[in-house]
Amino acid sequence: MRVWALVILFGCICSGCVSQMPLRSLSGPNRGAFQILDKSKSRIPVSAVSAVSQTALHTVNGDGLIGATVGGTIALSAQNDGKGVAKHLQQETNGPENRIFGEVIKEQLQKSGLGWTDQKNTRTLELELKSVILREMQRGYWQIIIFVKADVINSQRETMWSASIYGTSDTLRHVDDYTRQPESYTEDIHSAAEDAARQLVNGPIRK
Amino acid sequence: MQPDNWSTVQSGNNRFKNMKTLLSLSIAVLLLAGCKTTPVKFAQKAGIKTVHVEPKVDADQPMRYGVDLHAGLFFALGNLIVNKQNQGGLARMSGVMQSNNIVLPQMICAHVAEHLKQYPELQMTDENSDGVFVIKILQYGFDAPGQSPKKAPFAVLQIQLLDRNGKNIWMKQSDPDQLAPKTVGATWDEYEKDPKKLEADWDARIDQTVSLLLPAAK
Repeated sequence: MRVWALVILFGCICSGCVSQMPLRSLSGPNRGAFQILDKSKSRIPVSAVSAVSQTALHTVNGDGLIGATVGGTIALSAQNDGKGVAKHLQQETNGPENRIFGEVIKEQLQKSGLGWTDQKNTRTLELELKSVILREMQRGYWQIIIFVKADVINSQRETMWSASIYGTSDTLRHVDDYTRQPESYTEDIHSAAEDAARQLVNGPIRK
Repeated sequence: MQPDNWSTVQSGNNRFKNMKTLLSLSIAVLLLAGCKTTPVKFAQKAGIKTVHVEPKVDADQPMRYGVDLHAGLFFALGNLIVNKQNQGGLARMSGVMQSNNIVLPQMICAHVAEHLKQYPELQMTDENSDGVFVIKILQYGFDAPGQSPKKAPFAVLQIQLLDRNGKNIWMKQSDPDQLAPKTVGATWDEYEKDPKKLEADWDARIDQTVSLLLPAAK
């Protein structure tokens, strides 16, 4: 009984206490520019998840944003709803996700005074754009989410900092807008990449 | 005939009952803690004087029909059916909201910023503040109280105050079981014909939720 009481108390106290520092909070003797290393695959997996499947998963599992969307993608692949649009967009726009994220993170590092370099340096920022999801937020209207993993590695190959985050696009778009104007996909990827880069460099990192 | 160890068993049972009462009380206290709290005391303790509101507001799940009260699997399945049945209405509302620029994250941020003004101890500044308020939509959509044909918008929100290093200083979630103000609500047809009413109802509902999350300082 006492053990359970303690476990419950501990759980209540600790819920929401997890903190994630942004890159600019990193201190230490080697505060030089980051050498950026892109660890992403040449083709970023893009998928789509409908509102109905997300709600179903959320209601039954009670997952958060990441759980619901990742789980939803698996559920959706069986239905093949919206997946074709995601594939079509990636083909039409030549898969710009990785290039855009690379540009945006460099801009953000420069803007915040942390800097970056292509040369070998004492601190390496390893970035991996893991996936892109088109998520139906309101019936017929979609948002883009990108998932990024970032690690800072020192010269001894030790991980000094690590974060897994998502960035979301600002606007919701009708699926027809994407098919009519595939460049709107590029715009939304840019918006989601800016959000992810801002979180990584300056915070706050949203969970 | 009672066993020899009867008194030991009985005192053990009493102790168990006492423990149970104590545990229930502690859980109730923990659940109620924060109901009337404001972030001010916590911010002051953490040395936070300046704050801003994070402009990005994420939603944990898409717009839904029916508040999810997390009341067990039976309710969850009922909820799923009702949600699916009302997809047509949700699609209509989505269209009305998009074409009339009813953007919930913007509305929520504006209300939170407005309510934070009631705390003079927290000075609103730009991005380089000591603390940041991060808002999350846990669920949002429409619900109908009882068997009423009128639907009312709802939003269940979470507000968190983080320090510069992303450490959680204060957090509060709104009650999903909150009744809508009497003036809020209309049928799908009425909302479609009168988008201003839909906007005003979203505004009233968000204001109600945010006022409970950020109550006036005593």
